[in-house]
Amino acid sequence: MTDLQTQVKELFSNKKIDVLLGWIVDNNSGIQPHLFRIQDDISRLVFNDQCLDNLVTHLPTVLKQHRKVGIVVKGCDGRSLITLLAEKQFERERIIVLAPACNGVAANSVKLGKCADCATHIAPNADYTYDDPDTVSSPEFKESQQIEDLPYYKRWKFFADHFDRCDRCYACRQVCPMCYCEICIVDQQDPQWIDPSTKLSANTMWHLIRAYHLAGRCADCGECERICPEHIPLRILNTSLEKAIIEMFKTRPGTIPDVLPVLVTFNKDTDEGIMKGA
Amino acid sequence: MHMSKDPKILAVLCKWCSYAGADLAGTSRFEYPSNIRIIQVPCSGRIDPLMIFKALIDGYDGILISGCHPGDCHYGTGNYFAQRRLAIARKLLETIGIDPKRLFFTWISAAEGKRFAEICADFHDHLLSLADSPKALAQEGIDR
Repeated sequence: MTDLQTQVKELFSNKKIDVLLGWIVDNNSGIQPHLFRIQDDISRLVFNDQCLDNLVTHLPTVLKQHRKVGIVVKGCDGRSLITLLAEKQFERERIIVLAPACNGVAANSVKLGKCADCATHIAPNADYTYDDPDTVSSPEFKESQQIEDLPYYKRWKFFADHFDRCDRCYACRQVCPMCYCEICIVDQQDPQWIDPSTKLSANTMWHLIRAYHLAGRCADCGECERICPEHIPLRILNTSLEKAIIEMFKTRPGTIPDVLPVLVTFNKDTDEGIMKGA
Repeated sequence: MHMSKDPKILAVLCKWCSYAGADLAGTSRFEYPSNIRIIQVPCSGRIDPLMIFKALIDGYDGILISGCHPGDCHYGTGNYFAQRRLAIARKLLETIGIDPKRLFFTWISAAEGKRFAEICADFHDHLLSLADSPKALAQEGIDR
């Protein structure tokens, strides 16, 4: 039995948690997210490099039905959790954060692109941590840098080709832990800001708005890109904004608990000149 | 390649300073380009970047945004929020390949009618020197 399993068993028997969001190993379907209850077989709880999902997405729903919830998080998931807590989506006392060290995840034995930009192998703000993480290197944001090296017209061509394929299934919104609005701006009918059709201009509007609403909040968990049925490189939009925010405001979203996202606050002294060259 | 037509400019101005500044430019009979359309908002903090994206997609060539000078905001802090939001919006436009210079942000007070006229003329000239906005955006736009 691993340390994580022992800990979870103890938490269940001490009534510290009612349910646990984690990953289950199944002989037929491999590793799947699962809501463990006290009667479940904890020995099937796993954590390894195939635990792709960001379980924080499900947390608000689970907290509606259960008083105390345990959750297993990777570094990036932990960062999205910090932002949700800073935005007062639920009380910190109601969740127990279990953070095993994550040294990158892989889909079909290919390491995901987000893991190259990762500087958080263990979730900050965790209650319990396990294992030792690899050394942390500073993020390079290679993918968004590649785009930024292109001239404007080539960038637009790149994105237009991708946006044109968008089916507007909104899977990127559904899977995002930060998209918790009860009525999404894209579903709003009066006024209807975003055309629901799939023409290029409407798709561009949707992707701009989606990226903008995540600016300063996105923890780069990469779920939007992983889930996209048309393989649109959505992370490039997110990371280029993240990069700009690190440059402008000297802070990386989701790394410090209880700090508001940069766009809902301001600093009179240091903000001077951020619009320079406009 | 330069712009093939006269640029269409949208100005979003705050009610208390910049709109009054534009008003003063009018009553003082300063000349400025006529292809500018002004929207009045209560405060620059009211400006959702959504409006900027929508205007660009609907075929505007440039967006001029102005609020009260720092410290002069009628509501205290609206212009500080606007400053941060627009800085990020500019970055997003830049990433997808729309020239960020199409979005111009400045402070104009109610007494700066002359300055408003000058800024409009400069911005208009500046847009003329840019290449056409991405075709797919402009062609499909509603307001063309």
